[in-house]
Amino acid sequence: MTPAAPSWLSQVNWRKVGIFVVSLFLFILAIQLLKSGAKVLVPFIRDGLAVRNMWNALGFGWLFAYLVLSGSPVAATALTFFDAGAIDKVGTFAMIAGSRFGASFIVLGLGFVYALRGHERKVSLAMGLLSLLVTYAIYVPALLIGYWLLQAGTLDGFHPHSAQSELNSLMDVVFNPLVAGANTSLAYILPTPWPQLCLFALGFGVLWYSLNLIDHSLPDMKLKEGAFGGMARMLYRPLVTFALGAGITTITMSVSVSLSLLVPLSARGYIRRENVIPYIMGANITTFVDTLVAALLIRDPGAFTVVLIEMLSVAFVSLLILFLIYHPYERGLLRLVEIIGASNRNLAVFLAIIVIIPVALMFVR
Amino acid sequence: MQILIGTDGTRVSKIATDFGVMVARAASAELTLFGVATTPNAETNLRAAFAEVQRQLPVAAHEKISAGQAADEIIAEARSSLYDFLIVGSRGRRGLARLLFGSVASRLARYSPIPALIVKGRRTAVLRVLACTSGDARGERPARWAGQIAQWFNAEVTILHVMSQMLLAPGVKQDELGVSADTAIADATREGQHLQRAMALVREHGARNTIRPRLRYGLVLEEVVAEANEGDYDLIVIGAHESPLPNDALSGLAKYLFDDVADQIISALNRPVLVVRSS
Repeated sequence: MTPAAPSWLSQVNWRKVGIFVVSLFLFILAIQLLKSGAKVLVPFIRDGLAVRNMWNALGFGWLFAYLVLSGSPVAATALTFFDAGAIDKVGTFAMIAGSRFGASFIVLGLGFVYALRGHERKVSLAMGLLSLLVTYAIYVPALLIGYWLLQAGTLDGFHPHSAQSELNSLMDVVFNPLVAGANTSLAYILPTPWPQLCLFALGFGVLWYSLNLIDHSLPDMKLKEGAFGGMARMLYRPLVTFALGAGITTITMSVSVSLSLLVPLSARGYIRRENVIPYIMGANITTFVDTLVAALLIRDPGAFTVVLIEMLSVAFVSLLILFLIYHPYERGLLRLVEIIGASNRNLAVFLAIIVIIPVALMFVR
Repeated sequence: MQILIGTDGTRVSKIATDFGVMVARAASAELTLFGVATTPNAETNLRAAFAEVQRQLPVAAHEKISAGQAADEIIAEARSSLYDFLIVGSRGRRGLARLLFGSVASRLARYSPIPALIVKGRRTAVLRVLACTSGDARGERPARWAGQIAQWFNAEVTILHVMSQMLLAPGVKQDELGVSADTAIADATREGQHLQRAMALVREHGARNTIRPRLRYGLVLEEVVAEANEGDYDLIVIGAHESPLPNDALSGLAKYLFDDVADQIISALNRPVLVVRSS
């Protein structure tokens, strides 16, 4: 007689576990491909795109995220550019911040499309605008703090490289032959520097795909409203909601995915204004978890420091707001959302501004 | 009806006792004057304050004096006897002063086992009552109390529900966000049904004057304060979460986890506020 399997084993969604393992494998492979191909892009980034200072890097990350409709692949790519020497620490820091500015636009873009399809603009765009404005309002002061921390070199010695050596050797054994194989195959058919460029493009594609795959591998968290009886009450305290946003986004690694998990809280797809701002603030910090993992995979202590400082400066500004000026900040943002969403003209002006700013940043010398 | 009035003889307490006497007269209630002597000489002052109140009453009130921390003693008294609600004044400390010295009224509003009427600002009549309801079963208690108070004073009652919800995801129906109370009732939306139920409760509990439903959209605190000031209400009735136990580890944790909108409303308004907890 065969012993029965433990009940929790039967409840595991093995398909999702499989997807997660594959997505993780692809994520690591993508980072290695990007790392290998990035070196050839150094002249293009420095001279072609003229990314030479912090402001250029900010604008570049911002526009790049618009282009690929996602922030995380851009943030990971910034680290490979840093590793290749195309941008310095401050530039990397700024490019990662720019990727968040661009990524927030996607939520707004979705709201805009939704509004174009005939739904009332004011409510359709509110979430996207709010998400965008929270990100701007936090990251602008966080940029200054991060810049100061990077210049001071305060956290330069803080990276977990020693504990990683065994993991690194294992990764070398598995991924180096794959990257080298791809490189050699491309070199057979393409002249220099196209093999490296293709490697980079392939890496970016795999990274983008793997991040999407990670979203799909997440367990179904759509709980019934009743299950949140007590939690809905807890959500009311900004600091608790902030922690929840940070916690859930650590698992989901995506602000938009973690926001959508709030839907069952009301069952009707609504969320309280009081809860959403701190939730986005928390999510904005831990959305860097995948970038932090990418920094570890790149094995450059500087890359790890940059991401850590990004997270710490965003966390510091968020907590400062939560403890000191939360209510005026909340009122101000909601008022701004109302003003921007009040008419097509206001919205068009706002959209124009957030397209012009990153373009203008690229020309700062 | 048994009412407990906490007083320390100060100007703020005088405003609260005057309001309490007015309520007691309207409700034909029995009063207990309760003072906490924090210094050896305080008892004499309290007796004098009690005597002044007694002169306004047709039937003598009970008098009790205790020693210790004001909020703790009042809560203990509220627990030990069969009072229907308590009345205290509030200095209205805000900001740093509130952080440093705390607020007895705020502590009572949070921990009182019975409804607590926090009196701020002098009111000589109760003509308009605002009942703020949360949209669930908890929100029905303020409606009951509003009905009862409206009966005592033949006051008008407005039942307010604030929808702070915003649309979270595309594809969700947004028809219910922005309609008036009358439309919500006519369409039998969740909020409309709740308002209708609350209106029935107000009526059941004795209100004879006008009862109006009201829906507002925005941040709960902001909208309640705006409605209270715009409508110049004489008394605000608000619901609150179950009262936690003071000096209890879990309650201490709860204090940090759960937002206390009731306390924020008391702090923001210069009007009497009755806090009705769900327990």
